[in-house]
Amino acid sequence: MKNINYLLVALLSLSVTPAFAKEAKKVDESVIEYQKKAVKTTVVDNKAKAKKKAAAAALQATEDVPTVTSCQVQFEAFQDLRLNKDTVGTNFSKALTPSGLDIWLNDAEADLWRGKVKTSSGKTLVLKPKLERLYTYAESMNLHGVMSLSVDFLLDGKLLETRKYRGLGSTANAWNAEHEYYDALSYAAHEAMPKVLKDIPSVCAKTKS
Amino acid sequence: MKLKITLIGLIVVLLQGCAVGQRTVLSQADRGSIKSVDLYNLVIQDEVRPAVDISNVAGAMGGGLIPALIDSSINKGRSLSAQDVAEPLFFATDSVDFRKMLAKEINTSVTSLYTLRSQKDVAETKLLSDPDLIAKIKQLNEGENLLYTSSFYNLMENSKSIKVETVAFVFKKSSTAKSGKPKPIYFNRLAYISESVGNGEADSIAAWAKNNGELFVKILSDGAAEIAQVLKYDLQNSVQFECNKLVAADIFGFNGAKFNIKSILVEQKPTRAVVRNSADGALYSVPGTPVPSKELNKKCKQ
Repeated sequence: MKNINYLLVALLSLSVTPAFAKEAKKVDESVIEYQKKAVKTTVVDNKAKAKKKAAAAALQATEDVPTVTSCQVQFEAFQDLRLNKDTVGTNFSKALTPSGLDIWLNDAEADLWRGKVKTSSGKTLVLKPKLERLYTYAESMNLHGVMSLSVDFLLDGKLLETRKYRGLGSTANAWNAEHEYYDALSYAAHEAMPKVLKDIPSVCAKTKS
Repeated sequence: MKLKITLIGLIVVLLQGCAVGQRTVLSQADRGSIKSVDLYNLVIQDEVRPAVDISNVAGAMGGGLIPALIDSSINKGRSLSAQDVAEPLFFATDSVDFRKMLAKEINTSVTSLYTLRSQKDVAETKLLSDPDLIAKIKQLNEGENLLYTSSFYNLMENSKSIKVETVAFVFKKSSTAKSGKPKPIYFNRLAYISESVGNGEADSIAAWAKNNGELFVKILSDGAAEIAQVLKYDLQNSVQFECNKLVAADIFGFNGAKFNIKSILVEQKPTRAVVRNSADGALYSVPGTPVPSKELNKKCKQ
């Protein structure tokens, strides 16, 4: 069960405060590191609760069960099309300018895409992902990460269609440490990228027509 | 932990352009001594921030860890929901670059007043750290000044309107003479509030996003132009209060709630007005015609 009640997480973090503080001080935050296990949170807002629960369940199913498709699927490396390639935000004392974004994206692809698709010996569908936005910001007592991407679906080198995806990841702002902002970006990737897998069967079906 | 959360909350509020602080008027002497300006026009955001009705249980209960955690949890849900609602607008406007829009307008305003050194076509992305800011100020020569602006743009009022807000500072070399934070010779907050569009949430988002975000781009562009004009006005005018033009105008608080302020009418345009908050001197470009106030400002009762 990956869904964890947010308040429990917050209270748990309080109980291990000294360790947290030590960690926050220790880490040199110049390198962005992809977090494999993003913490899933339960939405408290009543209005959004039902919708989010259904979406989370669907996403959970997508993450756990490989996407079955009658195509062979190839994932190309991300193209970085961000208008702002210098920063991913600020922690209010300085700009967040992480290095290692290529590695981070590659790790995310490996974790969330490659190996998650069971393919057959059909036609080869090539996915060309483009990173449109990647940023993090603080709001109230939370840190949010946003990832926006578009994916070109190609068959025999011809563009079938382009689809767009977004994800918002959130975490509590316990220490305002850089790694907490980067964690929010990893959570955003966990929200945005599995949505691509859900679309593969429907796009693959078009290759037969 | 409680202190930490409180401090972070305070810092966030201050740097999101919602700082509560009195306008520092550019004095006649300082205005006359400015020969050229280095501009650092900062826009941290890569895209518009969705409208979130920020919960403030902690504020209502006078602070405390549990209320803060409740706020955090509620606000996380609201942020996720707001992102979902605004998704069509984000997809329709992912090539829109507000940094370019604002740079064009601010450059025009500044060059009409001063010699602008090292003009850039796009606003900056990197927040200057305190040491970097101090180093920049120390590099100035006599007659050279640093104009530092930091701007934010958000959907407000259930996504019905857009607010563009800028905090602006002018520094001169002697601003760093004393230890601690550099003391600006000019400071103010400038805000643009758009007219309301649609019935809120998805309905308004659809209106903003229609035709590849046509209305959104127009309003954002108008906002950038209005901010630049208001900045130019404020750098040229030192008059704080004009007693015969008191009006009541609606603005947004830091949590997104609308409230009414007593203000001085600076300029009435065909579809909007520029007003100055009589409490702190901040300038607002608001839609429509503000209602004349029956009260007189205390400073005007003579």
